[in-house]
Amino acid sequence: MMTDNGHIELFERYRNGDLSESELREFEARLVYDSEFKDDFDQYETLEAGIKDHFRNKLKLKLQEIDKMMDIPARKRIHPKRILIWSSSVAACLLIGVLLVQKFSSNKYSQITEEYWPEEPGLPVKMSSKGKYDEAMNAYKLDDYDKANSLLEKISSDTSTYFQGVIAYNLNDYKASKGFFNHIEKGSSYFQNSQFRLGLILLSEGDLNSAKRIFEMQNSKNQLFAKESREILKNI
Amino acid sequence: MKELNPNIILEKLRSGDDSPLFDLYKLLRGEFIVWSKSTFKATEEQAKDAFQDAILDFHQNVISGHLTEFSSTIKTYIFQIGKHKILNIQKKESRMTYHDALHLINNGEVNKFMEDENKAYTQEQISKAIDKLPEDCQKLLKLYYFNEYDMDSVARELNYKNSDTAKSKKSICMKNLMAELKKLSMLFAL
Repeated sequence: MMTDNGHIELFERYRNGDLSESELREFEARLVYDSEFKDDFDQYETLEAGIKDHFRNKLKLKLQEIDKMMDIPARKRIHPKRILIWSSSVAACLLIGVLLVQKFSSNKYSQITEEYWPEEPGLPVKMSSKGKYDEAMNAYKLDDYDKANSLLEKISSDTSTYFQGVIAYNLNDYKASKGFFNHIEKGSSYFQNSQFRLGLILLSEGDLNSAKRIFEMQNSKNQLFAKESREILKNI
Repeated sequence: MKELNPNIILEKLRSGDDSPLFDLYKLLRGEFIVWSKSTFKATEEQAKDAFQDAILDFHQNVISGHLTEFSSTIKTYIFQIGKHKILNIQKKESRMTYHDALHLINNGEVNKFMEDENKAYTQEQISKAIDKLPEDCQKLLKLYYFNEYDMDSVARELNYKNSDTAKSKKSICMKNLMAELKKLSMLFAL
């Protein structure tokens, strides 16, 4: 059964509160005694709910798109600010890119690094009170690495060094990344995490011996990445 | 850096700007996933699904006027909604039993399934029909039904002369939508 256009006009006027008192009384009475009219009105309400759901679903799809983007390892993402720089040297980059892709796609160690590189969600950000790392973490979570870096540089702590290492990796600056992770001292709560990441970078660079040494140290009971290290050691 | 002031977020959402939702989603998603995994033993998929719905409910509460100020932070508010979403998802999944032909779910959801079956149009048909409408109709329906604008606000937003023009335009859009649905129903019936 379909709602006919005449009814739609009436339903619209009812919805808009444009029925006179007598029309309203008649409308409500008709819903009781005229089952066909009632069915039509039910369908109209279903349609209204369906319209709302349609736009909610569309918004949810956009969130799922963001999800997909965020689930891609950061270093595979193209950072918007870098597009401009890239476009100015596109020919050279293409050449280097092709060479790099050829080199790395055949490198199973790089694949292992990508596979095991732990996602770093960043520190919790309080919106009510100001925390030492809040601004930097907001920038980090929005992939605004330049801003995050400039804020982190002003803070001297193992937390700051660790996040600078993660950012450098995300920007493909592996040398800098290694430098930061190497700086994290044994007593730091970031030590194991940094060592594991350091091992992964060394592995992707083909420095098997150094990488193995790190994974072997990580492969013991109380280490944060013992299971992962064991799996990697089996694969290399 | 994007603005995270709660008042500005509320103001932007009320004015139909969805961008703060995406910023909040990006900022809080990772933390929510970690929190729900450790606190509720949720799976990654459950956590993502719950967080998306939490963000959408937060949005709905703002635009419907149910949420005008915060007694806590935005994060706490969204996480609270997300917590209930996670628990509901887990409850729902633990109740699931499968029937050979129907893949039905127990309890009240059987009734909901039967109700859906009896509906004249499926959500898929409604969505397809809306996508076929002209852009101005889609905008109008979104503002009215999703953003819960009154007719004066719809008229102002879409540059119509007044609320009466908006009402008559909406009536035309609803008739067009019905016509599209009829076409789709005929296609399905073939």
